[in-house]
Amino acid sequence: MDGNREKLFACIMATSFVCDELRLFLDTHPTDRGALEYWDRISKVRNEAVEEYTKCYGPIDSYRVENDDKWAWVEDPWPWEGRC
Amino acid sequence: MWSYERRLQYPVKIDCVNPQLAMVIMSQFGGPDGELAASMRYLSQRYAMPNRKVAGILTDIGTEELAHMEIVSAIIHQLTRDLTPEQIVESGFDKYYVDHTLGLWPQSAGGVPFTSTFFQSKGDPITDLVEDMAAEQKARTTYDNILRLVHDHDVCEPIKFLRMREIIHFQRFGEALRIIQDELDARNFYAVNIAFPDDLCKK
Repeated sequence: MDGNREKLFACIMATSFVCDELRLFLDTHPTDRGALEYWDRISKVRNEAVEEYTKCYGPIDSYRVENDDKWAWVEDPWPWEGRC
Repeated sequence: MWSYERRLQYPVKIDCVNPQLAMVIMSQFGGPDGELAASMRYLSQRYAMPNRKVAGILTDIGTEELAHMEIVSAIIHQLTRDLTPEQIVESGFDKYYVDHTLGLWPQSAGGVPFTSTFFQSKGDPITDLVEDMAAEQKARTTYDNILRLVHDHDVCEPIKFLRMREIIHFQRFGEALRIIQDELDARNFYAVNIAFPDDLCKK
C-alpha cells in the first residue's frame, strides 16, 4: 500500500470508529450538544476521506462502485486476508 | 437492510500461525458468549422493545457485533492459514480439521456447535436488558481468559480492542435499562412486562 493510500485508509478507520462510538452514545444521550457537534464534524471528515479513497483506490462500499469495463468490487484483497 | 464495508472495524494482520490458539479464540465466534450469539441476541430482541432509543441501541450494538464476529473470524482464519498436515496433527487441530478443513464453522472451544439456546429473546424489556448486560460481562471475562493465553502482539491487539468494546456496550445497556425504568408506570412496582400490557401490574 502506498503512503497516501495508507494515510487515507487510516483516516477512514479512525473517523469511522469515532462515529461507531458516538452513534451508541447518542442513542442513549440524544440531546448531548458536545456529542452532536462532534458527530457533525467527524462524519464530514469521514465522508471526504471515503470519497477521496474511492476515487483514487477503489470502493470500500459497493454502492459507490463506478465501473470501467469490469466489476471493481471483487478486485482487491478482502479485509480478513490481512493484506490490505 | 445491511450493507458491507470492505474493512475491519479494527485491523487484523497476523504473521505466525497458531492453530491451538485459534481453537481457543473460536469460542468468541460460535461459543456461548461469542460475537455471533451477541449479534443475534440484540437484533432479535429489538422487535419487542417498545422504547425507540433502546430499540436503536439494540440495532446499533447488534450491528457492531457483526463487525466483531468478522474480526474474530479474521483472527481464526489468519492463525490457521496454509497449515501443513504436520502442524494440524501436532497442534491438536485435527479434530476440527477433519470436519471443516480450514473453513470457519461456529462452535465453542470445546467443540459444542453454535445454537440459539446460547441467548434469549424474552419479549420483556427489563428481562432482555439485564440479560444483555450479563452477556457483555461474560464476553469480557472470556476475552480476559483468552488474553492470559495470548503472547503474540498481533493477536493481542485486536482481542484487547474487542474486550474494550464489551465494556462500552455494558455501559450503554445500563443506560438503556435506566431509560426503561425511568418510564415505568408508578403502579408497576414489580416491573411486570411493559411490552405486554395487561392488568397484571394493577392486581
